[in-house]
Amino acid sequence: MAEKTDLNQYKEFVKERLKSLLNVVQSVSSGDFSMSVKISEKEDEFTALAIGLARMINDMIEANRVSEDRMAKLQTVVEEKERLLKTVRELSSPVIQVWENVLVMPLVGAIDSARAARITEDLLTGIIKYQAEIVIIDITGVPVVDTSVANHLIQTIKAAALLGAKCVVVGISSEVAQSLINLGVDLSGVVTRSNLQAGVRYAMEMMGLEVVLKKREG
Amino acid sequence: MEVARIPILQIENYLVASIQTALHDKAATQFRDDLLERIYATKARGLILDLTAVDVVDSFLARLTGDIAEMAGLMGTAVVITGLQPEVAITLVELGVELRGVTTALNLEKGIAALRKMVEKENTYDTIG
Repeated sequence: MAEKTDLNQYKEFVKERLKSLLNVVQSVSSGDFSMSVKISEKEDEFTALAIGLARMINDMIEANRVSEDRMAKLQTVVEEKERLLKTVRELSSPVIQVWENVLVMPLVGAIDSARAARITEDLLTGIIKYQAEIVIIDITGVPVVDTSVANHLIQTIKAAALLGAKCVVVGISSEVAQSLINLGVDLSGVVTRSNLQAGVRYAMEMMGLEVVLKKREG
Repeated sequence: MEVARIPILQIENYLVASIQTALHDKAATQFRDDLLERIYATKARGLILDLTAVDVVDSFLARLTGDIAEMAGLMGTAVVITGLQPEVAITLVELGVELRGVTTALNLEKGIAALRKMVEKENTYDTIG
């Protein structure tokens, strides 16, 4: 009889210990690390298991913290990058009014099709906004003008012409001129001038304006 | 079915037509016929087609606009298209429609100024010839 009660007591003991460990494991598995493993003062069969479990949970907490840190860092990096991209996009197609009804669009850097579409859109909305009659497109800062860039440019100029604005392309470098001719791009309908100054002069002429040196007294 | 007609107004010896609604093919051809008849009847020197309110242009309407300009040109009327929207301009360029021989202007005011200039030029040729 005594043996049987011992066995029952032992069963109860095992059940209880397992239950407390299981509770911890369950809460950890659902992502809650607030519960910690109770390690009994008196050493028994479960002590080693409990210690192992406690270590494992600590490791997991640590790993979790590290990965959260990394995520936060990554998040700030991504936000920074998005801000930079937005700035670049805003700077990619500036439209400046230099005189009544005269706009300048200085283009800097390589032009791909996405940027070209944006340039066209911004230029056309600029024409409407400033009621422009003449647009000077300065491509001094565009390093390479290939067939696709040239075609985009021609399309933009045609679209602007449909709105009633005339475009002048200025700042074609010797390399760009050579490559355009070698590629066989037809720019016959496009007005070109050497630099921005010549472009402004052309615009003035078209508007019937003249720059006159002011007479100084004495 | 009766199609809604687009009003064609006369100022001095210019005609002004402003398209305010989306034009279906039938209404568009009707518009062309009306316009040419009016040009013949009034002997207008200039025509302004105002497309400010048009936000969608298909290839048919684009070609028709070019046709109207050419036909009116044959009848001795200068044509100026005004108020094209940026999206419409982009669409026209992408469709490859070239409005050859058509003058464009930003708005009605500039359109009339352009028309005056064109007609004046013709007048000076007339007196020289």
